[in-house]
Amino acid sequence: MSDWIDVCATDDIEEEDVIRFDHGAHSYAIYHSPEGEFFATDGLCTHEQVHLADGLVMNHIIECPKHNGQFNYKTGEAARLPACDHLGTYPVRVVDGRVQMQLSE
Amino acid sequence: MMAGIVIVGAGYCGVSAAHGARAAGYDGPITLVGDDPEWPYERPPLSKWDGAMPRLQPIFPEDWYTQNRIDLKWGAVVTAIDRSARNVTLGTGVTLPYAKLLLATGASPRHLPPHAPSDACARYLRSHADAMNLAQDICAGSDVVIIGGGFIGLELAASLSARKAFVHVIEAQERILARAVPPEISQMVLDLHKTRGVTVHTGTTVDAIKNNLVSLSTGQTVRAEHLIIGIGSEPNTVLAANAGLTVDNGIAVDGCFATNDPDIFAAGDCCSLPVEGAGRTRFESWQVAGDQGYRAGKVMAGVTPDPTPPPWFWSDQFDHSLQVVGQPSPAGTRILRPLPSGGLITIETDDNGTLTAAAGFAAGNAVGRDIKIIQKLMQAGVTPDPAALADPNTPLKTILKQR
Ligand SMILES: Cc1cc2nc3c(=O)[nH]c(=O)nc-3n(C[C@H](O)[C@H](O)[C@H](O)COP(=O)(O)OP(=O)(O)OC[C@H]3O[C@@H](n4cnc5c(N)ncnc54)[C@H](O)[C@@H]3O)c2cc1C
Ligand code: FES
Repeated sequence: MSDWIDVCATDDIEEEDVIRFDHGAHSYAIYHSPEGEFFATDGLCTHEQVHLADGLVMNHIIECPKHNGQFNYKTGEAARLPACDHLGTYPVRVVDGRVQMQLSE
Repeated sequence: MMAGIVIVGAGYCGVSAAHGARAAGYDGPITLVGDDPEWPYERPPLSKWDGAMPRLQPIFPEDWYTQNRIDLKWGAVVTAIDRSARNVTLGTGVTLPYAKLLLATGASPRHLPPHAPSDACARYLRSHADAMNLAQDICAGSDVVIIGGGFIGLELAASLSARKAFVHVIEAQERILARAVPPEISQMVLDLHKTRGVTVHTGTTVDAIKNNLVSLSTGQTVRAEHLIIGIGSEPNTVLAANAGLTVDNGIAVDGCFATNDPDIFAAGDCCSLPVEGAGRTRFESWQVAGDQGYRAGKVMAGVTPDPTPPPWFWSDQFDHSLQVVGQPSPAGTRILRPLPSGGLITIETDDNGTLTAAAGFAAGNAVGRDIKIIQKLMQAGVTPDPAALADPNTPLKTILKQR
C-alpha cells in the first residue's frame, strides 16, 4: 500500500464544495460532502481535461464548468453527457483535522 | 420487420434521442439514419482547433451503439416520408417502417444570396469534411476574410489566427455577437480578438468581391485568398415540408416535440418551439439539441420528460470562454458582476426582479460555475437582491441555498 498524502485542513474546503489538489504530475479534486465526509477523484474531466474544481458541487454531483458533464464524486461514475468515461476515485481519511488521500500503486 | 423508432439525422440530437428512448426503458428497435460519411461526431470542435487540426470527436464510442442495440445506418440518406404507409425511403430505395419517427435533420449554413457580387469561391463550415478542407488549405501567412461576426466566424478567426493566418472579420451589425450577448460582452470579445491580431470590421458590409479582393462599404479593400461565410444557419426542413408537415422557422413542434402528425416528432437545430413573446424560436445550441433529443426520445418511448431547463450555450474564443443561459435581450435590465479574474458576468432580470438570462466571458473556465448557478436560480424563479448579484464577494451559491 502506498502512503497517505497530506492534502489540506478539513476547514479548507467548505461543505458541498471542492478544491484542486496537485501532487506529482497529477491533479486531483477533493470534495467535502453535505454530510461532512471527504472524497477524492481525478482532477480533470474525462471529456476534455478541464479542472473539475472550477465546477459546481450539488449534493454528491460535480458538474464540469465547461460543457456541464456530471459525475458522482463518491463513485466516480459519469452521470450526464458529454461525460461518458468514469473518473478515478481515491481513498480519503481525516487525521487530526487534516484531510489525507491515498494514491493507488 | 417490426416497426420501431426511426431517427433521421445522426447528429448530437439524433444520437441523444436514441439514448433518451433507451434510458426511458424502450425495448423495441431503434434505427438511426445519418447521411454524413463519418461515424456520428461532435460539431463544436470543428471551429475550435486547439492546436494544428480540427478534432474528429465521436459523440459515443462505437460499442455504445451495439450495447444499446441502435441500428446505425451512417452514410445513408432519407429521401422521403410516406405518412399513410408510415415508412421512410432511403437513398438506396429501401423503405423502413416506423411506429414513431423523429426528424433530427439539423441545419445548414446560410448561403450568400445568389445575386451577391462575388466571383470568389466561398467556403462554409458545418461538417468535418468542411473543417478538414479549411485546415488543409489555410496556412501561416494566408489572407482570410470571414463574413459574419457570429460565434462560428469568430471561433474560426481565433483558430486561424493562432495558425498565423491574417484574418479579417466583416460584420454588418454595429457590434459582434449582437443577437446573442449584451454589449459589454461583445466589447470584451472584440478587444480580445484585436489584441490577438484579428481585424474586425463592424458596421461594415461587402460591396463586391473580385479577383480575391473584397471591397468594403467603408471604402477599404482587403485581400481574401480564402473567403469564409459565417452568416448563420437555416433549418433542414425539405424532407418535412415534402411530407406535408408544418414548417415555420423550422419544423414546427409543440412542447413535447410533436409535429402536426402525432407519430412524427422533430428536435434540435431543425425544429422551432413556441416561446412566449418571441414567436417560433430555434435555439441552435449543442446543449439544447442534446436536451431536446433526449426528451423527444423519452416522449417516443411513452414517458413524459421533465420540464426543459433554460437554454444554455458556450463558445471558446482563444483561451477564453463564453457562456450564455436564457436568451439575453439588449433592452433588458442588466446587473454587472465583475469577476476577480478580470472576467464579467451580466445578469438580466424582468420588471419583477426574476432572472431571465445571463452571459459571462473570462479567461479559462472562470464563468462556468456562476452561469450554472444562475441557470438553477432561473429554474427556481427566485428574485435575488440585485446588490448581492452584483457583488463578486457574495458567492451565488449562498443565494441558491438561501431560497
Ligand atoms: C462549427 C460549429 C461549431 C459549433 N460550436 C458550438 C458551440 O461551441 N457551442 C454550442 O452550444 N453549439 C455549437 N454549435 C452548434 C451545435 O453543434 C448544433 O446546435 C448541434 O450540432 C445541433 O445538433 P442537431 O443534431 O440538431 O443537428 P446536426 O448536428 O446538424 O445534425 C443533423 C444531421 O442530420 C443529417 N441529415 C439531415 N438530413 C438528413 C436526411 N434526409 N437523411 C439522413 N441524414 C440527414 C445531417 O447531415 C446531420 O449530420 C456549433 C456548430 C458548428 C457547425
Ligand atoms: S470538459 Fe467536462 S464536460 Fe466537456
